[in-house]
Amino acid sequence: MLTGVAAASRRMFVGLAAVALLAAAGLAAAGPAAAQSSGGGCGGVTQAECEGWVEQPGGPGHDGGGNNGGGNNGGDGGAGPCYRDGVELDCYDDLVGWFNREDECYYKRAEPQPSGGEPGQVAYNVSCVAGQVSEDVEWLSEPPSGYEAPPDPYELRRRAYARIQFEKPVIHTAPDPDKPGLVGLPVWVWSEESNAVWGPLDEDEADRDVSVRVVAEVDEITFNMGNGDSFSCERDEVFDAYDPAVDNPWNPGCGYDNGYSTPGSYRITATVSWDVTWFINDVEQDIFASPQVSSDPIEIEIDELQVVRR
Amino acid sequence: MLAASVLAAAALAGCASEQSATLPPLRVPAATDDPAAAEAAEAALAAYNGYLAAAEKAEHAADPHHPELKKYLGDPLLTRVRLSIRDAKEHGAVRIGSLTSEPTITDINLDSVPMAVEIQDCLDATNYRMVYANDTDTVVPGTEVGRYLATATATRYDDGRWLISRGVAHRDQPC
Repeated sequence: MLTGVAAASRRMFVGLAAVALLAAAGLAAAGPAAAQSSGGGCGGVTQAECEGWVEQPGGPGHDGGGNNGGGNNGGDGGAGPCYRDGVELDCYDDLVGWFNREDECYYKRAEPQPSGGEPGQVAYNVSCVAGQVSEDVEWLSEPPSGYEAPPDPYELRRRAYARIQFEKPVIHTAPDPDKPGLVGLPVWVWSEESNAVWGPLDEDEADRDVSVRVVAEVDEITFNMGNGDSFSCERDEVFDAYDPAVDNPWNPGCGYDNGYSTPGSYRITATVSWDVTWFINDVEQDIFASPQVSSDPIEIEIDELQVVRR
Repeated sequence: MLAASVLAAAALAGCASEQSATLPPLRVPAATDDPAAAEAAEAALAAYNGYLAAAEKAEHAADPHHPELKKYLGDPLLTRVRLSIRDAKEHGAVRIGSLTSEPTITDINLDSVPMAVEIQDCLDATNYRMVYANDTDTVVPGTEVGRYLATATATRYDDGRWLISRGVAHRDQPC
């Protein structure tokens, strides 16, 4: 996907140039985009300047950069995504038709069919450049590869899932790293409250008559105390921060009730386990991914309880 | 019909003298008294005028699937027009106002398959502005254009209809 990254930054560059041009002309950027003057109009006689839309930062057309911790969960069905020059495209477009992976062009039967073909041939519009179709129809005896492929729910699921961002939980402890705790005393642990920590997170994708929804929910959050001990907490416990003014330190909402039995330094991490399910046209399917996302570790110090005897 | 063509041809000759050499030579149909050619020319101009009216409606409505379009347009132009409308719409832009048109026939070819009629036009888009849909007082920068040359091809289909299947705006060629 290096090429995809390059394309995104190029578009950003063009967008910045457009802002500079507008500023130079003394114009406020009044809308989402500007049209750039170009040569012949490609959208017919009424559109003298159709080719030159330039993106501005934050405008439409930005890739949803998928950054999920779920690993690769594709591969169980469908023909996979459609790419042109490394940039992912829809495999079907209602204006230019079906994507042919072999030549990276869209094909759609010409409407209406012109006269002039050989018997058995069909005329197609061919679109090999975004937003444009070729000057002439192409006559083919066989439909191109991928033509009239139905919507692929697995592909829709993959795209929806790629947009779900799982964030690391951010955790805190009492005692905190700056102040050592003592052997045998409870350790409080909690997480900052955020949808990205507990969900549900959902994303939709649709193609023609097929709509897919992907829903990620947290199954549980588990604290690993760094000494082999671990425990899980519920949603209504895990966001409960320790407040010395009101909380009884001996009764943590989510915590290590008996504390550490030996002094030392311990690395505490929390791991959130997600279950990701999906729906096709509102009918629930199976859990297809169970990603786990861990927090950064917190290191705390536990000291010996000093008892003075005489 | 013929008179109109000749008049328009005269008008075009006036601006053609200032045009670059890329303009196709203006050719009045050889068989001017051929009723088939006259009929084709009339059908082609009707399709062209219908195209402009349909495109205005579709562009005003920012509707790439406006039903009028396919009454007058055939592919690949039909898809090109739809793409440009969708593109403008996705960029938050829409057309307001109207075009003025002075079409003329430059060639009639009844021997080709499909039969074709070439049309040339001097379009005035001074009052056909591309504006932001949420701020129709503001013209999209870079889209102001005055009078420009346009060329189009009308094609005859097997069902007897004439539709415009090609059309190009030559923005760099004022008229």
